[in-house]
Amino acid sequence: MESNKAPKGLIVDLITPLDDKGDIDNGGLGSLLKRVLPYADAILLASPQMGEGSGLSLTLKTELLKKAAAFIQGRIPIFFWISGDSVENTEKTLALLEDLLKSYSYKGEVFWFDSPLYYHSNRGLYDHYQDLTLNTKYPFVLYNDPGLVNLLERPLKRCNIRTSILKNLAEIGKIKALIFRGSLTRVNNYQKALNRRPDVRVYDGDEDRFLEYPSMSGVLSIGANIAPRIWSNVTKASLGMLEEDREKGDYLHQIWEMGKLLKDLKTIYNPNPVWTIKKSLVDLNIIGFHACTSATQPYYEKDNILTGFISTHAID
Amino acid sequence: MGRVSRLIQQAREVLQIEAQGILDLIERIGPEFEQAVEMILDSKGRVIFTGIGKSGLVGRKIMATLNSTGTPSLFLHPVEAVHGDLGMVTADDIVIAISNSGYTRELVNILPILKNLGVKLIAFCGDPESPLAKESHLFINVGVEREACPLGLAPTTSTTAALAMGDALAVVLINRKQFNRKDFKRFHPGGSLGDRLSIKIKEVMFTGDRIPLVAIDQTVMETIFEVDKKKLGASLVVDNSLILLGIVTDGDIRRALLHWKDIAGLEVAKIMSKSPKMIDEEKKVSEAVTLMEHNAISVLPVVDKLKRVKGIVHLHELLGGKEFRVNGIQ
Repeated sequence: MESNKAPKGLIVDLITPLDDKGDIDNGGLGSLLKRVLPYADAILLASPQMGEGSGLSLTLKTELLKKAAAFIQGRIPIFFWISGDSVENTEKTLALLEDLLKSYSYKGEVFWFDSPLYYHSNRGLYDHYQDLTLNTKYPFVLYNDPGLVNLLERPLKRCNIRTSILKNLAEIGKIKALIFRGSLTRVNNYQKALNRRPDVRVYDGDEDRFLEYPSMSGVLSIGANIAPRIWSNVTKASLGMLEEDREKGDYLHQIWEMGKLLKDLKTIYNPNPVWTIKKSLVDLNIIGFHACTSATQPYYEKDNILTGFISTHAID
Repeated sequence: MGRVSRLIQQAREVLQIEAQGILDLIERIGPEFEQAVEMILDSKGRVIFTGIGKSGLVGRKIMATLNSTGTPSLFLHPVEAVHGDLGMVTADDIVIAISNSGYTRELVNILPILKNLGVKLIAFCGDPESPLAKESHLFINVGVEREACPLGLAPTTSTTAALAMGDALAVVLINRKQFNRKDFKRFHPGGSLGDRLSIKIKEVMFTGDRIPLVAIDQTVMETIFEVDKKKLGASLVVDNSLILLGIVTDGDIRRALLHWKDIAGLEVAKIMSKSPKMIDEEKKVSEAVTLMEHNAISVLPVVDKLKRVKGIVHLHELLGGKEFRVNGIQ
């Protein structure tokens, strides 16, 4: 099923709950989705950051999509990271996941979330997407994250999609959105490149940027794993979707305080978001294990400050 | 030093975001903008802006721009609208409703009433799927990709974009209406022109020997001499008590020549206009200008309550670039 437009608002970059054997923690996934779904406009699964996608086997990815889709049941769109370490592996992942959804006759909206420069150069990217989009009925969300590409430590490799290439990519109808991390100047140029496609959304991939200068499409949020209600309120306020509430006397004060709280929260989880957030979700009895993939470095600290912060501020 | 630099950097970012918001509108302007212009030009009514909060303020500014450039315009507050102000709206009017989200409750509430009144509705809005966009006859997309203020505390780029689009509309209307300097002066009675137009006629009219005057029993030739001498293109015709009986203009003389051929010896009463427009010396210059423009005349006798001639004014003198030659120091 091809969606007309990607959703506007809060996209939660969901952690992947794993049990101590390294399998998907089904109970944890269900509890987490139950907590997050009422506030999210879309869920991102197996992302390279919070979803630990680069450390998940294809089997685990398949399992994750199967279990999450069964829980979500089309209530909100699913974004799923398909990028592998090569074109072949990306195509293989896509084909497998596509077959899975087909076999379950999944009726909900799904967007393939792809970081093209993770496995492909700018050269020939248009042709690559022409091929890739032919092999699926689902639309795509591109992810431009120079930090992710830099992790690959490939010298001389460009870490941003070139603006002229993006302009060409915008001709491909199945590309419905871009999640962006990088400079304001670059995002402005990207916006210009996408001017002919007003239906393409450009989300902020950087929470700080969104909290300062919000994109009117929405944000990809890490912190929403632990503070989904507050992130939802702040996102809606930033997108001008709470106009009626503005008349309430302390509305601006409340939103201001929420924004400040989210910034404070981020300073706590920022050094190692996956491990810190998983640990707090365990402390809060939302997931059963704080197991991570080998791609995530353990981050030991005497007390989990995040859990204390969440309790002190009654964050839900 | 570091703090100042951060402040400047932030200010630059805000300007960059707002500038981009306007630049994005350029490619987005399409046929619906042209249709909006034509709709306004074809309308016999006024352009009424409506909006809440900062969108309302933007509406008021665009209204002021349209008014000062020849497009009659009003502002309707959506809340006051349902408490009686809808009475200002007629079926001939066009309503431009401004809301970035297009969901503003107070605005959406009055849309059915406005449509019921038969007005044409134009949405200045950022969401084509919003109730405002869907209920309107025309949707002008003033959406922006990024606000420059955190947490939606205050609209920034979106109001700037709406304002810029309003200016685009006003300027296009100026050009289409061939609005000129004279029109602009008429709608800007502030400054020196305002001073001119607000003073009394008796303070600026030509008086005494500057008034072209002939008696009712004088000839046309004598009248021509008087018109030529006083250089106002006309002469007033009076009785012995200086009561205004008529006026003879260059045009009257030309028409008389075509009719009688030899007019030199004719009495002026034969060719004069017997019901000339006139104005009281106590009236303001602005009223004289309006009277002359509405009747397509360039000179106007000034009289007292008994219709005695007290002076005369010429349109060009009233609106011309020179300052008035005030009585007594002409």
